[in-house]
Amino acid sequence: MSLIHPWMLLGLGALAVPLVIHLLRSRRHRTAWLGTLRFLLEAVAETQRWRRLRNLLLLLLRVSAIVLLVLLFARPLLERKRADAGREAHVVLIDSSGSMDTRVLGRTAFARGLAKAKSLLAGLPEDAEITIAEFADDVRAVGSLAQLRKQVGGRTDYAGALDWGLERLADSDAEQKVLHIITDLQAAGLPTVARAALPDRVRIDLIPIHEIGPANGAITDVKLLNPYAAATFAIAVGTRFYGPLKHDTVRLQLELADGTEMEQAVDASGTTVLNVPFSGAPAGGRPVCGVVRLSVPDTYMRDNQRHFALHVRRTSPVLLLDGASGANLFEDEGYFLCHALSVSGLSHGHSRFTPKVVRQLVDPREYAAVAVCNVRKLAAEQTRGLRRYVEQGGSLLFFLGDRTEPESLAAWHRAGLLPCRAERLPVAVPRPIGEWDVDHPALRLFDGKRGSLSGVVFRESFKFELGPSVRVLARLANGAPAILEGTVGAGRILVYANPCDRDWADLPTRAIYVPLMRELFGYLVADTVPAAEVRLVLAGVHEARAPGLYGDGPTTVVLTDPRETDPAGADEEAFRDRLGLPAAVREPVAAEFGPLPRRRMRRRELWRFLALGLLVLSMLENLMAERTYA
Amino acid sequence: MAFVTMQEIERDDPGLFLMLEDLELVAHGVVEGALLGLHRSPYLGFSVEFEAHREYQRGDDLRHVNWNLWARHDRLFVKQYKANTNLDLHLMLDSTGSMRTEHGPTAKWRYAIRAAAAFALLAKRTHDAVGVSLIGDRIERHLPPRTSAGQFQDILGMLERAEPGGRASIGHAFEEMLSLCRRRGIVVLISDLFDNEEEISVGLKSLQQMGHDVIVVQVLDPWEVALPKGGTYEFHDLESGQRLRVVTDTVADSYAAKVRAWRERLRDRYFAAGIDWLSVRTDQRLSELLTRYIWRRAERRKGAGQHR
Repeated sequence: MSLIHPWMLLGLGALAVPLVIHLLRSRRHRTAWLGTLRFLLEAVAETQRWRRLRNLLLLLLRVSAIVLLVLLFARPLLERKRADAGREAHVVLIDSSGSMDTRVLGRTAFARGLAKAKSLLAGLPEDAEITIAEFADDVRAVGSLAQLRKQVGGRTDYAGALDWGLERLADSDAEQKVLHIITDLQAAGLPTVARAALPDRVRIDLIPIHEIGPANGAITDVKLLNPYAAATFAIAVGTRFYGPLKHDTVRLQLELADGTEMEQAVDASGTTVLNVPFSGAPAGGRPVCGVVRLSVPDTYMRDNQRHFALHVRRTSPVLLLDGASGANLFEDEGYFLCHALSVSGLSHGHSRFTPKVVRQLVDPREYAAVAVCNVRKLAAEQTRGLRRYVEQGGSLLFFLGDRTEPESLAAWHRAGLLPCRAERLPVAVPRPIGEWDVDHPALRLFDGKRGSLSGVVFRESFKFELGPSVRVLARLANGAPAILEGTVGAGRILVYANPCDRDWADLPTRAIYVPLMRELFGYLVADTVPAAEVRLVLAGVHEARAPGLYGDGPTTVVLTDPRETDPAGADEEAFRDRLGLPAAVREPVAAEFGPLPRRRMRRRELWRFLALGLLVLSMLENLMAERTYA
Repeated sequence: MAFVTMQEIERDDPGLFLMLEDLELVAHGVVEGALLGLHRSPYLGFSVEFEAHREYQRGDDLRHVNWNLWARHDRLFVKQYKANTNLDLHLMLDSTGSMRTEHGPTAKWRYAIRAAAAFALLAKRTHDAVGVSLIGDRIERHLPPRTSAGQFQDILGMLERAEPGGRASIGHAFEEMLSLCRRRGIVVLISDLFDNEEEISVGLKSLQQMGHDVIVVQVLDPWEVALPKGGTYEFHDLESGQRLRVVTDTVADSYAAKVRAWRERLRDRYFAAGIDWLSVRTDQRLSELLTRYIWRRAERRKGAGQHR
């Protein structure tokens, strides 16, 4: 026999209590006088033997009760050898996914699972191969239960855990193989398609923890509605409710790191996306950090709050120098370009740019990029100003068109604004883009899968004398450059050998126009607003930290996996069916699992018998004490 | 203003009554209380007793004609009564140390002297001569029976001054008592009877053989009848000084059974010997004791008359 908690034997010191009580009771007395002690002496003589025996029995009962109580806490194990023993292999998988954090009566499902695992391990033979592992989104083997994560979390992947356990058992040469799964049977963790039935020779011991609640409210998502904001941005909080909750509406609180707090009532039925707008933008590229809390009474509290770190970028101001005013608004050179950079329907809030169309060049230093759109010519002072602007890190994009004069091309080249010499061709021939550099950041989007420039038609009207400092981003079907890049100082210069309106091609009417323009400008202004790095990590087996914000180095947000929020549980039969497990059996059927498991050592906890003994002793003591003293 | 009589106090609050120290007052209260509870006077039983029938003679009171006999024999007979002479009432009071036991409203000794005072007053009322003897291992004090006017006060004075103590040896006391009670009368022994049963029994029978009517009043403390429960007690023997520590719960039942058996044994023995027997506890009303005595005494004399 061995003890799980041998240090509890220190409680045997309490044996002094009944002894002291016994002694004190016999010392304390009252004095009385009688006319004769004759009858008393006779009565005492008659009852003395039984009385002494009864006192002794009473003392014995009390001492025994304390010994039993101490042993009960020490949890003795009875080990019995069996003659026909054989080797066994056991893999114990303990669910440590987020749903195991469901708390009922102050105790989590994980704690209850841990207790069951302890009891299970205590009953396994000493010579068995025992593998203990926790599983959630992945499986992690541990040497003992004490090495399990203190912080459960992560989505449930039953299939992965099952495969992991079966692989371990397959490597074992034991005669008997048992896979124990201690879990809350969360339906969300089951594979969507039923798995094929498992091979026999492995017994699946499913130990369910029925703690999963019938209802749950959760925050599943927190995101920015407009990640590029000039002054105001909005946060969207996604909430989800399962099952009948006590209240129709619950409170949603948003708390920012700077102390700003907002609160809204949320309809607690079905999926709700709540937009929480507020003003202000962080400076210096720091993320907006905070937490959203949902005050809903449910048993799974972990998903009732969600931390966030959202990067809000300021929009980049872009100057569009319109060189060809039309008869009306739509014929202006920069009309389509301006709208492509600012307005984009549903994604209006996602625009990175704040374009401004001007007829006369203004000081470009306030702008992240300047587009010279089919401009006839620039004054020498303006040319020098642009040169300085580019040298200091500004970006310049030339849209060449019918209004661009050859003299201007030569002047710009001389000033260093054009990366190479260019000449106007007498005839403008329409040609599609034949090839483009998908490795270039500006054209990476057009990799053939997400987009393609093959349908874009240019009019070949300029001839370029390419030098070693010029990089051609796109060429026409005949090899003529269509988009070029050069550098001056710290700045970038792109040359788009066509206008940006509908004069030469119908590109603005095609869907490719907006992404192409945005990518080109995005490349030009890329480094003007450096983004702070935010790492989003889902809680899981490999993430030991509790959900929250961690600011060491790059801001890290550990999030509760929203897939764990669905509290629906599966019954044991459905669970086995979906995972292809054999039907539950109390004892392994010989035909299916082979002979009954044989153990060399059977370890059995004796606390039930001790508790029963304690109950009987206390009843006897009460009976005896009543007869003795009452 | 409403006056409360002693018999009312004795009836309503026996505990308070037993605490009163004035023996004469208590005796009056007891006697009056006892007589108040009787529906017809028992005095006649002491002074006028039926003797015999005789033929009716001219001038006889018709109230004394026995009409039943006339109906059966067609002759007139009148009932003839015997006018009793005064009795000698010998009160023997146990004054040993065991009488000091006090766990009820009063000590056994106080209860006993009050009972004796009541008997003395009752005798005074019936013009009987009454005397008192305090007995221990011998006759400690003795006041011979007299009918003098001051006898009652003398008795009360002696009882007031007496203090119980010493060990009992009633056998020796009875030997002395036989020489002091030469005239036939009534002997009332008030004691707890914790002494040797045989010696007491022999002594009482000796008194009976001298023609005395013997009445035994056993006075016991409530704790002597049934031990208190719920604790450990160290009991001291008031006469021997012996000590015994017991958990009363363990022996109470056995103790009570033994005392009950002892009392029943005494009752049977005295009943068989024709000795009047009364056993009372100190928490019982004194007047009850006297009432029981009066009626039993009356019945006894009546029975004796019928058998005469």
